[in-house]
Amino acid sequence: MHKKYFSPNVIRFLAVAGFCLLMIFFNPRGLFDPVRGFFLEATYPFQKTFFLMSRTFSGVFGFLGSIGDLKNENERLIRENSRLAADLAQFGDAKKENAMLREQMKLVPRQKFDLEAAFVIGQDPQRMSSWMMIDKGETDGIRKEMAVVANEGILVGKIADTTAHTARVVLLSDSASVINVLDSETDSKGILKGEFGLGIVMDMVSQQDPLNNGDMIITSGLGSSVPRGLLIGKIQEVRLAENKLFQQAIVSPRVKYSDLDIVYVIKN
Amino acid sequence: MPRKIYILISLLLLVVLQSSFLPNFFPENAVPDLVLVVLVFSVVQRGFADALSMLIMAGFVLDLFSFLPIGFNVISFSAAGLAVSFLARRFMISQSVWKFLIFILMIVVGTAANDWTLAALSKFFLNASEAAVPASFLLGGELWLKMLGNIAVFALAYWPLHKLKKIKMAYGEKISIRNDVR
Repeated sequence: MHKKYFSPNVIRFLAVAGFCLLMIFFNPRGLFDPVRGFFLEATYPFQKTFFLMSRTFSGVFGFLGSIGDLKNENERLIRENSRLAADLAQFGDAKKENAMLREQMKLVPRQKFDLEAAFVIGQDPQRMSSWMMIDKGETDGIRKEMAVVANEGILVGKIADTTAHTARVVLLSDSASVINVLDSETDSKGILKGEFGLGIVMDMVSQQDPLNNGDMIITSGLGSSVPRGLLIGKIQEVRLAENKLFQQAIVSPRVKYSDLDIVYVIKN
Repeated sequence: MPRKIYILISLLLLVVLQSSFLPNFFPENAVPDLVLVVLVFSVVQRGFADALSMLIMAGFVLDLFSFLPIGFNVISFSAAGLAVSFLARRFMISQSVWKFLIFILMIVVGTAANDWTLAALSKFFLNASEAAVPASFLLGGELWLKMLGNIAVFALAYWPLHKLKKIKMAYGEKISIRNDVR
């Protein structure tokens, strides 16, 4: 009697895996895009409804859970308020105006852009990469590579794919995200890369260029559709790259991407 | 054919829940994989061969929604299903408490097999700048959190589904008794 080296289940698995590997290897890009577009359009109303419902429920639970912390938070804010009032009196109006003007020169005002507001309606179901789905698409004038911002000109990502009514925004923390940036204090230039959804790093900074903890990082506007002057975040730590040729800075984003409800797509 | 359409609609609903409803209740990398939990349950109940079509359909749907190359999740779900069916045939017993605990073990094995297969495929087929999951993700806190999330979802759904199955079986017996009496 011949010995079976593979059980029927293993043979089935190998057959399925082999076929799928061929599909992945030959990688027929765009072949399934119409199918993907159809399913995304069909589920778009449900995605929007479920996301808004879950935001409401999680907001209620979050509030109930935070009641115990409100007293401590209140005391902390009162102390901080007193300290800030004293600082303000000490430094005077001149410093305040100087800081405001300096920031305005680096940060582009929101009114300069043609912004399309969009709700966030979904995220990567596998959580293997960092992207989110918004409820505006091609019919609203959204195109690939458009920059996406939150609040007052804080860059969060770029449009990667679009359907008629939805678009996928790849966040800065995604490993596929690459943006040209500079240090707003020292003008040191570098490339901002995402790290598997765990954070963002400013890389390829020459060792001669200064980087300091606490410096604000903004977009440089070089070589891409992302305009100059959009705020990214603050430098948390400076270190040497693994190849020891360049510096790297770990950047702490200005906003928490998972808390975003509304974002703005820069159309012009 | 209607059964396959029903399964496809159910899978779409699960994917939408997983991508749009659950992320607001769980930490970022620990959102439960609803589709995987249902597939593990299905493989344990029906066996790998009978559940294979559902594994392929679920993988295809999730590849569409995850913007991954078509085939990634098909392979990862098939690998998870194979691992689960291999263990289920050896460990599954009829006593209800132990059966529940063994289901938990199947969820853990299925989650690990699915995530590791996806990570390996990402590393080999996707450009390093697109997606390459670090080793710390494969063995670190995120995987354990995800397993906990999957176990929590399964535990919430297990007892109602179990009761539903008993009701369905009892209803089926009633009809057959009535037919016999006639």
